[in-house]
Amino acid sequence: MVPEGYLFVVLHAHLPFVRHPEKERQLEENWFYQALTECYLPLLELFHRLAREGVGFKLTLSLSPTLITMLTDELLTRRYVAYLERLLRLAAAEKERTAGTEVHSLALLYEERLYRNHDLFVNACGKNILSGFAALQEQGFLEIITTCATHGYLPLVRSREARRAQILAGLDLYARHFGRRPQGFWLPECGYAPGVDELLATCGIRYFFVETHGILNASPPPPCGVYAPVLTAAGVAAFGRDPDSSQQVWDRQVGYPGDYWYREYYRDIGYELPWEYIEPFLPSGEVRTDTGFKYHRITGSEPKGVYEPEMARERAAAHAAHFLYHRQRQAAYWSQYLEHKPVIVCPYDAELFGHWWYEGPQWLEFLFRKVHYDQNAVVLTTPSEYLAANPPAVTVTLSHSSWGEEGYSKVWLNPANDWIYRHTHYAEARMTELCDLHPEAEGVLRRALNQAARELLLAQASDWAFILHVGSTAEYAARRVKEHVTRFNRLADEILAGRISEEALGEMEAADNIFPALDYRIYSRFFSGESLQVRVPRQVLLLSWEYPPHIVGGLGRHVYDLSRALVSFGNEVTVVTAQVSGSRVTEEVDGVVVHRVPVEGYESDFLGWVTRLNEEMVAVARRLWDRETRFEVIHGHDWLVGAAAQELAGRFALPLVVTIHATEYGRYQGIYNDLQYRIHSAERSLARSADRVICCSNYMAQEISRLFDVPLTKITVIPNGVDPGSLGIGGWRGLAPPSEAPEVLFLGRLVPEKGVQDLIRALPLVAERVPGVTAVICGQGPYEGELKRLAAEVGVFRRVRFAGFVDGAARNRLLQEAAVAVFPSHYEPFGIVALEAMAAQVPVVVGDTGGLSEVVEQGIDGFKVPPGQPEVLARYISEVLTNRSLAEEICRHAWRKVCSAYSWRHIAAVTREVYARVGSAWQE
Amino acid sequence: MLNATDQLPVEKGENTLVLLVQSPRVLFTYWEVSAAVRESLKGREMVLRLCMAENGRFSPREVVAPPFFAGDWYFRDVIPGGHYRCELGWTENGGFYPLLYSEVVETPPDKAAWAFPVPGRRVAGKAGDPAPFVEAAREVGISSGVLWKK
Repeated sequence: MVPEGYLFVVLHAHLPFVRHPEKERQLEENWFYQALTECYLPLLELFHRLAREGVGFKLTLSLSPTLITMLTDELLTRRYVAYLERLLRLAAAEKERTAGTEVHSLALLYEERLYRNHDLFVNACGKNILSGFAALQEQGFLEIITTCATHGYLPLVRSREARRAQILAGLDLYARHFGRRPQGFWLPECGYAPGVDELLATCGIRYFFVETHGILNASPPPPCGVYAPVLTAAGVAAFGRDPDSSQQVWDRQVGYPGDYWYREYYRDIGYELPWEYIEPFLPSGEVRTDTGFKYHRITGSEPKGVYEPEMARERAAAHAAHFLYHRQRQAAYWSQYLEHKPVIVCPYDAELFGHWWYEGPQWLEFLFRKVHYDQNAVVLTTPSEYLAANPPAVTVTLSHSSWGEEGYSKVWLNPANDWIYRHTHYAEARMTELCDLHPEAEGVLRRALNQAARELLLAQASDWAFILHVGSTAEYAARRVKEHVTRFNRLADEILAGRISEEALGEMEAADNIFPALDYRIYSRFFSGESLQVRVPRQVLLLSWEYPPHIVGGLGRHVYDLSRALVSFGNEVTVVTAQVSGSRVTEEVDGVVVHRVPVEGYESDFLGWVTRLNEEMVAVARRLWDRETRFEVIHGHDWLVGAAAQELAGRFALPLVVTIHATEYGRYQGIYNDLQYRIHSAERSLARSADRVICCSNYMAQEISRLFDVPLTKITVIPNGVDPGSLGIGGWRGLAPPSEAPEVLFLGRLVPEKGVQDLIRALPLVAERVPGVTAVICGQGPYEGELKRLAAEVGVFRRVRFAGFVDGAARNRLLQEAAVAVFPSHYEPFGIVALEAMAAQVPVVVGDTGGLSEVVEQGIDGFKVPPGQPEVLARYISEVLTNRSLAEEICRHAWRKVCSAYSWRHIAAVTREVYARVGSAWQE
Repeated sequence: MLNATDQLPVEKGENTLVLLVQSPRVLFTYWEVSAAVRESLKGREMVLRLCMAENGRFSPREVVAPPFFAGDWYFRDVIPGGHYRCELGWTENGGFYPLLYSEVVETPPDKAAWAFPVPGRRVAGKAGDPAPFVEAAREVGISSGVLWKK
C-alpha cells in the first residue's frame, strides 16, 4: 500500500560545554550526568532493542558539538562512572530505607535501572556511547546531524565570519567523530536570520529545519505550508516544524507529559530527605539537587499519589496511539491536496525524553512499534532519504524565526541578557582582524589564536543567554560569559602586543579543551579553504575584452587583479581576451595563462568586431579544451564577451558566472538608439542565461534585477577592489600634516550628477570655521564653465583651483596633500574614487547615494551626506578639518577596510565561494 | 586569572552603533562613541533616533536623547515587516547631523500575518482561499493530548 504521508521524528540533543577539571564535584556538570542517565542511555538502549527486534524505525538525531565533546571526554566520562556509583550507593540505602513502604518497589526499579545504565555505559559501550549511535547510523536507523559549534544563536551572532565559524567548527568536529560530514544541520533554537542559508550552502549542507512561521511567512508563501520542504535561493532545503504534533508533546497545558499518571519531576528525595542522610549522595555535596529518585506521580492535586509505573506505561502506549492516529489523519487530509505526499516534521529536544518526561522513551518506543506493525498510512523516514526521492519544488525567501517564546529572539535578547552582545560582537570583529593580521601563524602565536577562537565560540553559546533569561543558575551563566570574554580579551591583547604568556595560555587550553583541531583561520575574511566542505572548481576560464596591456576602463584592471588573486588561492586561471598591437598571443603573467585573439575593425564596425571577437574566443577555448584543458567554470565579464561565454558554457556543459560591471541603461540613464538597444538586449540575454550574476553594489544588483528581470537571489554583490600599491601606498602613513590652508579634493567628471556644485556652495560655510580652506577640483566635463561661474558667484573663486585632467602620478600627489576628499555625488553606481581616497588615507565625505553609500560606513570610515544639501556637507567637511583625531580615526578604519573587505584577496575568496556554489549545483 | 569575573569593560574606545531585532515590534540598540566623536559632540546634545525606510528614504520614527556615551535602548512598538536604521548624532537649528549609522535591519512580519494556505479548500469557506492555520487545523480535526489527560 502506498503511504499517505511521511513522518520525521527529530531529536536535538544538546548541553552546553560544562567541564571543570579544577573542581572534583562541580554542580553544573550534573546536567550532563543526569542527561546521560535519564535520556541518552535509555534512548540508546531502546534504539538498539528496536534494531535487534527488526522494528524498522527511522529517526533524525542532532548531536551538538559540545555534547559530542563531553560524551567522548575522558575526564567527564570517568567522573560519570563515579556519579553512577554514588547513585548506586544511594539506591542501596533507599532499598533499605523504603523497605516495607509503598515506594519500595520504586526504589528497586531505580536500582535495577542504574545497574543497567552502568552495564551499558561501562561494559557495552566502553564509556563511549557515541560509537553506539554511530553504529545505528551505519545500519540506517539513525541519521545523525549536528549544529553550531557551541550552539551559538545565529540571529544574534553579528558578523558573517563569526556565523560561518560557528557552522564550520561544528561540522569539522562532527566529521572528526563520524568520519563523514552530515547532510543536515540543526539551527540552534531553530534560529534563522536572512543569510544563514547562504552560509549553510557554502559549507555543503543540504537541509535544515525552521520553526513553522519561518515557512509560513516565506516569500512567496509556499503552497504546501510546512508539509513539503522548500528550497532557499542558496539551494538548501528547509523543513518547517509541524505545529500540531509539537503541541501534543510540548504544550505545558495539554501536552502528553502533563498526564496525571506520569511521574512528577518536581518531587525528588534530593530536596525532601534529611540533609545528613542525603548529603553524601549529592553531586556537589554543598546544595540539594535532583537525584533522580522520584516516587510520585503528577496526580493533578495535592497530596501527590505514589507513582505507578504500569499505569504510566499504559498512558505512554495510549498517547503513542493518539499521536499516530492524528498523524495519519493529517497525512490523509493533506495528501488529497498536495502534489506530493505530505511530510510531517516533529522535532523535539532530546532531553525532554526521560529527563523532563520520564516516560518519553517509552512513548517513543510504542510509537515506533505501532508505526512498524500496526499501519501503512505513514512512513517514518529521514530528511536525506525523503529529499533523494522528493526534491523541493518551490524556491522561497525564508523569514526571520526561532522556536523560542513568541517565535523570535526575545528569549536570547532581553534586559536579563542583552549585555552579552556588546562584548561578543566586539570579540567577533577582533577575532577576524587578528586572523587577517596573522594568516600563517605558527607555534605559540598559532596556539594563542586557536585558543582565542575557542573562547569566543564558548562565550557565544545560546545557553548562557537562555539561563540568564530563565533566572535559575544565572550567576553561573554570567560567570561563564565573563570568563570566556575575559580570556579572549587577554589573548587578543597579548597577541597584538606580541607578548603571549605561555603559562596562562596553557591553563586556558587545559580548561577549555574543546575543538582540539580548531583552525583559527575559519574567522578570516579571506577564508576560502577546502574545509568549506564543498569542492571549489579549480580550472577557471575568464573571458574579458580588455586585459593588460589593453586597458580601456576599469574592467581590464579588475580582471587582471582578480585573475592574479585567484591564482594565489591555487586556481588555474586562463584568460582569453582581445589582442592589441605589441602584445603577445599567448603568455603566462603571474601564474595566469593569457590567450589574446587578434581581431580587426574595432573602429569601423564595432558590432561586427564584437561578433568576430566572440567567435575567435570560442575557437581558442575549444582548442584548449581539445588539448585537455578541462575548465570547470566560465566567468565572463560584461556583454562584449557574452556570446562566447554563453556558447562555451552550453558546449562544455559548464556553469556560467557573469560579472556585470555597468549597464548600458545605467550609463546613459535610458536606451535611446538602436545600438544601445542591441547592447541592452545582449546584457539581458547574458544575465538571464548565467547561473550566477556578480555585480559591485546592492544598488547595481537592484538595477540589474529590475532591467533584466533577474531575481535578486541570483545576484551576488562583490565590491570592486582597490590596490593601495597602484596609488603609491605601501602601508599606513597617516594623515597629511595639519595646514593653515587645508585642501579639499574632488576627483571626477564635471557633470551635474557628481555634485561639485554642492561642494562649491559649501565652501563659504566651511571657510567660516576654517578660514584658510581651499579646494582642488580635478577633472573635465561639460559642467566646468557653470561650476566656475558658481564659484565666482558664491565668492570662493580664489579658494578653488580647477586642475583639469590629472594623470595617475598627479592624482597620487594630490591625494597625499589633501586634508579631506569630497565626492558629493547625486548618482553613483559604485564610487571607486572614494575607495581610492580611503586607500590613500584621506578622510572622505561622500554623497549618501547608490554604491557610494555602501562603501562608506557613517562615522566609522567616512561621512555621508544627503545629496544636494551644501550646508550639511559644510558641517561634515568642517568637522573633519577641525577635529583631527576624528579624521585620523576614520582614516585608520578606512585603511583597515581597504586592506580587508576591498582587497583583491578577499574579493577572490568570495568569488571562489560563488564558483563553489555554481559548481556544486551543476554536479547535482 | 582563569576565574576572572569582574564586570567586563563596557567601553572599548570605538565608535559602535548596533541595531538588533528582538521581535517584529521590538528593536534593541547599543552604542559607544569614541573620544574623538565625543569631542565633536562637545556642547551639543547627543541624539539617538530610529529611522524607518519609506519610499527609499529613512524617516525618523522615534528620537531619544540618552545621557550616556555608551549605553543601550529598546525601541518598542515598531512596525513589523519594516526596514530600520538607528542614527546617532546631534541636532542644531532644527537639523539632525548623524555621526553614526547602524546597519539596516528588517523586522519580521507579525505573527498575526501567519497564513496557512489550504489548497483547494472545499469543506468550508471559499475554495482556494488561504486560511489561518488554526482554521486549517480545525478542518483536519486535530485535537491534542488534552483528550487523554483525565
